[in-house]
Amino acid sequence: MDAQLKRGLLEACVLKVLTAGDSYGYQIIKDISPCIELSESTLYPILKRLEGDNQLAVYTVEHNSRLRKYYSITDSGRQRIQDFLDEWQEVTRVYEFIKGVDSHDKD
Amino acid sequence: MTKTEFCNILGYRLRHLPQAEVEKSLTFYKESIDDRMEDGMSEEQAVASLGEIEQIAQGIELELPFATLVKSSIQANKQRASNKTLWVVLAICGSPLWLPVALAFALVVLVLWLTVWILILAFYAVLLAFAVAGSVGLLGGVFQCFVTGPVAGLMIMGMALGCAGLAVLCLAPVNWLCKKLAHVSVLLLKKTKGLFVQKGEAV
Repeated sequence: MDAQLKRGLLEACVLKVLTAGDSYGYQIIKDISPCIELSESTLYPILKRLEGDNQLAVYTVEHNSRLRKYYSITDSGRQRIQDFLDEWQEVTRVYEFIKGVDSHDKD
Repeated sequence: MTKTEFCNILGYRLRHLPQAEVEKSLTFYKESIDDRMEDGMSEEQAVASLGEIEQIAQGIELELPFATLVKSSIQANKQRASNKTLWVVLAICGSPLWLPVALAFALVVLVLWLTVWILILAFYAVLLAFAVAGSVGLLGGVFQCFVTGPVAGLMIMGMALGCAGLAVLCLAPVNWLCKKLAHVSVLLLKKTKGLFVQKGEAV
């Protein structure tokens, strides 16, 4: 998949996972994995970027006598998901158009 | 590979970056290894499942602001140079060659970047001119009605309304265009940054 496209999709996936409740790095990867392949090296920059854009907030919790970072979605993060869904309708239209032309060729 | 070995290698690979940044990245990956081990993986498996260290390091570098990267690269170069006087000699002797090239490159990027922003400025200047012509012309037209009569006055008012109309009409397209242009300027800096990051440490 195109890297830019995948990055946009992954950012939306991370935010979506967080709408179900605050989560931490490894859990986010586990939650997204059934849908799209994701590794730590991909997730880390995404989390940093989303944090920088104020689309998620970070706090630390003690867990099994070590610290674990939790991420929670902000209002601007929720808005981002909505924007993504709105934009995607346009993409779907283009997809249908491309698919349509293709099947016409086969006929 | 153990967790400590992984952290040592990644830390060394990122040694030219600010200490705080390295700590933050290491904490994230340590946490992930711990979580995986808690999930039943062995230490080796947990480290292996994180992927290639080089890829991880590149991901971290690419997300850093350009200024930070340049600054830390310069600092790293400085350290190296202080260790090896040869570096200084080479840099000075080679300066007739690399200085103009580096300068030209920086200038090209700067000029491109400036061009984009001057274009944006020009667009808004035109828009402002229309708006000012519209509002001032309208007032002038009213004034003219009383001075030289309604014919000249109404003509001026008409032209002023035309200008104001153009300003309103062009506002949305200009905004759209300028947003795209601003995006281009950001892209330009990012591409330039990508150029340096791919090369690794040398700036």
